[in-house]
Amino acid sequence: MLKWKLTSAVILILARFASAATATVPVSPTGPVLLTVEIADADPIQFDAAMLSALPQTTVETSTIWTTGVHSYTGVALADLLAALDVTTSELQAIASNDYEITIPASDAVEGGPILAYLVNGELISLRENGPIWLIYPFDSNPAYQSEVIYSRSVWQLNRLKITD
Amino acid sequence: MRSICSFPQASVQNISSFIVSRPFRLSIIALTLTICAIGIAGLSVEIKQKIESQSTAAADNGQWVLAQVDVEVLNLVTAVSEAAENPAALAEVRRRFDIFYSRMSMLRGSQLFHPLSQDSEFSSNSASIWAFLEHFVTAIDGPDPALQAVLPQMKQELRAVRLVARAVSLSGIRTFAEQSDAKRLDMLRTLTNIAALTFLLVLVLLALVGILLRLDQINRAHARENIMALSRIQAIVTTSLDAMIVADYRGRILEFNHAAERIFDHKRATVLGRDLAEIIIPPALRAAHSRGMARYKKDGRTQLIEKGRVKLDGMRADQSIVPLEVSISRADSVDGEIFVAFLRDVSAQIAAERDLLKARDDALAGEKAKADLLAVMSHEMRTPLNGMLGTMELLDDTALQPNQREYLRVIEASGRLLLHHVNDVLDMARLDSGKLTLKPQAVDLGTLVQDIFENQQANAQAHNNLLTLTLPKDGRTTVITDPALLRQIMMNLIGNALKFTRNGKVSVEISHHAEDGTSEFRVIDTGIGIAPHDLERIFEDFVTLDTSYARRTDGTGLGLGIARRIAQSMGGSLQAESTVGIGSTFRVIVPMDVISIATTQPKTAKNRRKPLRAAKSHTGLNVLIVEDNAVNRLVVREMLSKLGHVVQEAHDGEMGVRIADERAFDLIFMDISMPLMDGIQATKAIRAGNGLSQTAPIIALTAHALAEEVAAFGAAGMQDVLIKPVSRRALETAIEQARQAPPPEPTVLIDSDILAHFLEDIGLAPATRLLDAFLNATDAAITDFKAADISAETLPDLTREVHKLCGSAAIYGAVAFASALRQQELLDKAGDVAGYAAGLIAVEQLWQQTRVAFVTARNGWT
Repeated sequence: MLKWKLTSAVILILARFASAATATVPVSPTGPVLLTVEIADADPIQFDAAMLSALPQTTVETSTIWTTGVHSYTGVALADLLAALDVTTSELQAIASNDYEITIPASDAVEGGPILAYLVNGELISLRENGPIWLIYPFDSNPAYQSEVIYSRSVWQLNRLKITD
Repeated sequence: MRSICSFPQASVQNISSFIVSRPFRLSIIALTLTICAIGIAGLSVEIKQKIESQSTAAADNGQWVLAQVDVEVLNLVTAVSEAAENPAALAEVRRRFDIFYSRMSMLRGSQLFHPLSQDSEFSSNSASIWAFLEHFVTAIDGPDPALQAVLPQMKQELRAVRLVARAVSLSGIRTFAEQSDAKRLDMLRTLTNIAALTFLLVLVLLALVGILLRLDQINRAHARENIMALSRIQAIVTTSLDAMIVADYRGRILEFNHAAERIFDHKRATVLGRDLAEIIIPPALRAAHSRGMARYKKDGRTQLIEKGRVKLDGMRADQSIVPLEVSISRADSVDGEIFVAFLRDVSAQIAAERDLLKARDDALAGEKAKADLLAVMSHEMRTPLNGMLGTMELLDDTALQPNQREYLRVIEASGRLLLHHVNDVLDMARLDSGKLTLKPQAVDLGTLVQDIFENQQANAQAHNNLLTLTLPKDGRTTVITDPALLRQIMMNLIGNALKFTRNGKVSVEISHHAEDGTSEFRVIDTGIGIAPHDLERIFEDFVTLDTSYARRTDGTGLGLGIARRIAQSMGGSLQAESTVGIGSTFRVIVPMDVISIATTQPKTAKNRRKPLRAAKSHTGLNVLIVEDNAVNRLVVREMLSKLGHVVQEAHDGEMGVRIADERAFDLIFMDISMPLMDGIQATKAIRAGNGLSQTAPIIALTAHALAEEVAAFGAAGMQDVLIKPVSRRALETAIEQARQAPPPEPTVLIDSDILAHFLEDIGLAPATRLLDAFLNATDAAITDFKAADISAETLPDLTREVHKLCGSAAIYGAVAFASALRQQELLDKAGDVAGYAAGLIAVEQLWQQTRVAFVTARNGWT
């Protein structure tokens, strides 16, 4: 059942890509893969920058404890991603290039919540600058995000999301 | 009732005082609660801030990053080693290099590590790592062969970088540990503060709980008291014997107890809430009631409320009127002012009072009737009786047949007995009344005892007893005392003595004790005597000693007891002494004034023992009787005639004065109470005039002479007093005394020798001036005497004036006047206030005569 649903979701996304971008946007990654979403019992979905930019974009202006000054982070809101995937889940695993792994509750995926930023100040993020994807919470606009737990979820060098149930 | 009612009232006051203080307590509680709330809020904010600062602290994350630096160096080392043998692993070298690079970038860029940048060791270590990264980044970004070429060098340098990275991690961890220590301490301080504030809060709350518990306790106690007071009041109201009605300000009935139901015959349930006035106030009083209520509402004035018990009429259910005793008080209740009325049905009481009043009126009427009867007996019966007895005495002296004389004796004996009964009844009535008011008046003791003797004569003769009387040696027998009481004492004693004496003698001896102002009466018998152990018992009531005589005598046994009681109530005593077989002596000692009119009689100084006119022989005298009552006049006249005196009569005072002026009498009997001119005025007129009888002895005749009246008699110029009814014996005694006493001489007012010497010594003109001055001064002094209030206190002052006058009077030869003044001085020394007052009147009269004489004499000089 779940499998069918996920499969249909993938088809849906791909169909949307197909209709929205016609032939100019490929349904499979053509550039370097920035993010791989692994859904249980389904084939992993790989996103390159073009695919990510085809999804609804959100920009967050905020500072972080790891950087100096306020920067503009742009990417796909976690909520938008889950909606696009049409996945109903309670939590997901975020895994980084350096094998850092953390569980993020699906309840974090709200409007005004975290985004999967792949652009800083309009530039793709290199691995040396904690790319390719940084899960950014809008720390400045919502002080509730200034907590140890959220800091631990704010994964940098993110390249993999795993939805297990 | 009042005291019980006051208890709940007091408790109400307690409650109200509690209520008054409640806002104060409430404000304390509110303040405490506010302080606690502020404390709690402050603590909450502080706790929240601490927790937030704790949660936003990114120290842990920083440590993680530092630890990752170390780890990523190792990962790079591993990747480089692998790539040296397997060129396919070059991508992994690049990845690990980039990650290591990003870690170091973070150390340089993140605010987390600003504290570390102050550490010089950390800075230099970071710099050396950066030197490594900068050196190889070109090769990493370059093509594979170039990277392959520098791998050995990179491997070589990584050995040093590993150590440096370790040092960086350790220095970071050390700094973060110090930081978190400081934060922990700060947290500890905050937590300590929180704990302290919490403890304080708990204390405050405990105190609040305590206060609330106490308040609760007090409230419960008050509630309990209220309930008890209420139930007690309810019980009182319900069981009260007095009716109790409570009404509100508008007069609506709020309470109506059992007793009220009984009195008014209304049911409580049917009258509650209704208008009091309609239920229990009679229609006639309703207007007054509403006026009173209106007045009370207007200005609080009231004639009923809290004015004690008031008598009012109430109305029963059947419209009948019931007399009530009402007491109304007011009180404040939650619904406004209320009135509490206690009512008592007093119809029975009023009926009883009415009966009592009637009984009293009846009794008073009875007493009045009795008193009236006694008065009738006293005045209306005794007077004709005296007339009868006197006339019989006269009749006895006329020529009578032996049998007629016998009848007369019987009539006379019966008359005497009747008089005796009348007197006895009067005496007993006075004794029985319990209030023995002494009516002192002038009494002739000889006459009094002789009357008793006459009365007891038959009794004495029956047992062959002799009655004898011994009068005081100085012959003064007129005293001021209550004759009725004294007569009863003597009658009882003499009668008693005669009862127990056979063939013997009963003597009465009278003597005066000047030293203590008493008179003594001894009744001595030669009878059977009384045993010593019976001597006191005989004075007890209803005692008759078991003697052979006593059996034969009749008597109540009250006589001696009454006699002693009377003597005591007259301020005296009655004692008995006796020797069995020899006789008994009863001794009455009673204080009484002995009258001696002669002492106040002006006398000339020089010729006192040398009367101008020789005393008459023992033969008949010329006697004038001034008396308005024909019967009395007849009796006295006949008695005197029998004694051999020549009698002339006058029917009133004026006639008496006229006759006395025209003819020289040896003796004048003067009735006191006469119309137009009474005896005192007549006497004064005789003495003041120049008539032929100016100096004749005048004896007053009176039925009842009070002590002060006797003094007035003396002041008017009378020599003696005879008490009516006059017996022949009393007349004889009085005449005898008048005969023995030197008759008053014509007063020598001015000693002409002295006055002549005075004239010669200082000359006519100065003497005249001095005499006029003396007359004026004496006039003034006499005026003062008249105005003076004579008492023991004023006597010394008066006497000083008298003494001065006396000296002056002697200089001018006013011998009579001076003598009278000297007499006053003697009276002052004796302390005789009454005599002094009477004497002053005589002094005044004498002065008027003396003044006339002086004026006459002075006129003769020129």
